[in-house]
Amino acid sequence: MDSLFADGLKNLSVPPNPKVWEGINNQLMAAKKKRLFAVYIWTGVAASILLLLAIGNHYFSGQPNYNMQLNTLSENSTSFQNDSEQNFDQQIDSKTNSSPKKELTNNANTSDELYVSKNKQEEIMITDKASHKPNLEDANSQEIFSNGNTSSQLSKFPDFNGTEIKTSNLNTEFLSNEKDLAFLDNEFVNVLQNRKLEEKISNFKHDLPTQLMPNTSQLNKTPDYAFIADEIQIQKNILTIEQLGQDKNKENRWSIIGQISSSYSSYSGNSKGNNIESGIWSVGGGAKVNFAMNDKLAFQTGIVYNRFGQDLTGGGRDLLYADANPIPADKTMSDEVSYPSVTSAGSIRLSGGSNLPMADPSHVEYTGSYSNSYSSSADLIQSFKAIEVPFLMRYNLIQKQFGVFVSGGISANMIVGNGVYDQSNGGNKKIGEIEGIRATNFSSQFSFGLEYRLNSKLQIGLEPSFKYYLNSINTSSQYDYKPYSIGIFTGIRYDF
Amino acid sequence: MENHQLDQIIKDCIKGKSKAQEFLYVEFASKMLGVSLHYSKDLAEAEDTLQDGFIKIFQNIKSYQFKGSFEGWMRRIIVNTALEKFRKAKKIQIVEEFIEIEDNGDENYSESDISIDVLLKMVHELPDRYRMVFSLYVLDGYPHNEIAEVMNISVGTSKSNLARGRAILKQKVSDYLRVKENNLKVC
Repeated sequence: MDSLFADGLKNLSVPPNPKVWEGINNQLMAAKKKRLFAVYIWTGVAASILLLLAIGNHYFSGQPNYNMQLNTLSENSTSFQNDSEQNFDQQIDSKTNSSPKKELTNNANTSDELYVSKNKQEEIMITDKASHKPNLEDANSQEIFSNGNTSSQLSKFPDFNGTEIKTSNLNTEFLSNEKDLAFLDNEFVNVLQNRKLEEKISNFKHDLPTQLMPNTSQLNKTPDYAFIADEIQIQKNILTIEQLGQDKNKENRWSIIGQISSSYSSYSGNSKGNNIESGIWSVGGGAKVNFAMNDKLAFQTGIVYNRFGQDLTGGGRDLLYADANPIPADKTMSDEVSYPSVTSAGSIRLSGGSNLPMADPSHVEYTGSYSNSYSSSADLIQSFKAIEVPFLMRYNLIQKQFGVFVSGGISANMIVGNGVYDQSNGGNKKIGEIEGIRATNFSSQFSFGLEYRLNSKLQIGLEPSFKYYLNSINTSSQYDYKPYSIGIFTGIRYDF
Repeated sequence: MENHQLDQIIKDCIKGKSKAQEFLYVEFASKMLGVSLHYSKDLAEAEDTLQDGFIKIFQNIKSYQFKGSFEGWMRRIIVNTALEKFRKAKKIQIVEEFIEIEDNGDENYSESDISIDVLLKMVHELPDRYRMVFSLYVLDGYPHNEIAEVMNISVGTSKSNLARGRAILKQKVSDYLRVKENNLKVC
C-alpha cells in the first residue's frame, strides 16, 4: 500500500504556473526596496542628528551665557582692576597737593606702616571682586585699618555711610594722596572708588551700542560697579573682535572646496524592456570655487565627476523572454550568455564588432520554457560617467564654529562615459553601450550642508544632496530617461 | 547540474543576485511543487506553498552550509512551510485519538494499475491531518517521533492518524480498482 503511493508520488515533478515566479520575484524586489528605503531613512536620521547637534551647538554657544561671562571675568578682571586702579591712582595723583601731607606729618611713622596695609587691603578687594563676591567691608581689611594708632584720628572724619558723600568740607586733594588715603576709613575709600567707577561706566555706556548694554537686572541687586564695568569692557572687546573678523571676511571672498561623494542613482521615466532595473551606488568627486557675495550668499562653480546608471541584475528575465540580444561576435555559444536588447535608458549596441539586428522588444513573447544553462549570474551594469559643471547659489543659515547652509542651482553634465558592463564572475567587461545618448544634459540640484570650522582657513563639511536631470538623456523620443541621484558629499574647504 | 555550478548559483543567491535566484527556481520548482502537492488539497494551495517556500529559501539560503544535499535542504523548507500553513489553518486543537491499528497485510497493487493523477487525487481527498501524517511518513520518510514533534501531537496520535489515512486510501484504491474492473468487464 505504502509503496504504491511512494513509488508513484515520491518523485513527483509538476511545472508550476509562471505566475508563481512573478509572485516570488515581486516579493524579493519589494524586500530589496525596503532595505534601500531603510538605508535612506537611516541616512536621513544621521543627517538630522548632525543638524540638531549643529543647531544645539550654535544655540548654546551663541546665547549670552552669564556663567561663562563670569568665568571670563574671573580670568580677566585682575588685569582690568589693576588698570582701573592705576587710572584711579593716577587721577588722584594728578591732583596731589603737598599741603595735606604737612597736616599729617605727625603721623608719618604710622602712615608708612599703614600704607603697606592699605595696599594689602586693596589687593584683597581686587581678589574679592575678581571672584564676584564683593565684600568691601572685609573683616581683614578692617582689622588692617584698625592696626596702629589711626582709629582715634579717623573718628574725626564725618560718617560716609550712604550715597551722599559729604566731601564738600573735605579736601579732595588731601584724599588723592595714597599715603593720606591710608588713614581713611575703609568705607570711605570704597565709596570714593565707586564714584570713580560710576563715572567710568557712564563713559563706557556712551560709547556702547544699546544691544551690548549689560543686563544688570540679572546681577546682584547690590550694585557692583566694578563688575558692570568689567562686563561692558568685555562686550566692547567682543564687538571689536567681531568687527575685525567681519572686516577680515570681507577681504577674503574666495574659497576652494574639494569634495568626494557617495551617491545612489536611479531614474524616473518610462521603463523599457523586460529587465528588472535597480539603482547603483557610485563614488564621485571634484573641486569647486566659492565666491562670497556677502555674509550670507555665495556663488559656487567647479568641476565634478560622477557616475550614474542602473543595475540590470534582474535582467535574468531574459531567460524567460525572447528579447535577448544576439551573442556578440567575441563570445562563443559555450558561454551560454544572453543579453537584453534594451534598457530604460535606450537600446543597447553591443560591442565586439557585432552589428546584428536586435530583437524588437515590443514583440517579446513568453517562451514557456527556461534556459537549461546558467551563466553564473551574468550581472549587467549600465552606467554613464559625467563631468558636471555646477552653477550653485549657497545661502548660509548659520555661520559660526558650526555652519549650516542650503544650496541649489543647475548643472551642465557632459557625458564622458557610456557603457553596459557584464560583471559576471567578478569581472567588469564592457559588452556595449546605449545608443542615442545626448552629449550635454542639464540637471537641477539641491543640497543641505553642515560645516565645521577647524581654524581660520579650513572647514570640513557634510552635504546631503539631491540631483535630478531636467531632460531625458536619450535623444530618441521613445525613451524618457531622467536620472536622479541622492548622495552625501564630504569635503574640505579652504578660505583664502 | 554539476555540483560546482550549483554551488556557484547558491553563492550568487546568497549575494542576492536575481538571475541566480531565478535559475535556482527554474531548476527546482517542479520538484518542489511535487513535494508541496503531497501536503496540499489542490494545485492552487500547493503553488501558494511553493511561493512561500521559495521566499524562505532565498531569505535563508545563507544558512545552507554546503554540506549534504541541497535539494534535501530545499524539500525540508517546503515541507516546513506546508506544516506551518497547516498549523495556522488548524485553530481547533487536534484531539488526540488512539485507534487500534489494523494491518491486513500487504496487498499487491501495481503502479501501473493506478495513474499518478488518481493517486494524487486520493491523497488530496484525505482529511488534512491524515494527509500530513501519511505524506510525512510514507512519501518523505519522517519517523513518527519527528512527525509528532513537527505536528505537535503525540507519537501515538501520529501512528493512529497514519493507520486511519492508510485505511481510507486502501478503501479508495479498492473502490477505484473495482470500478475500473467493472468498466473493463462492461467493455
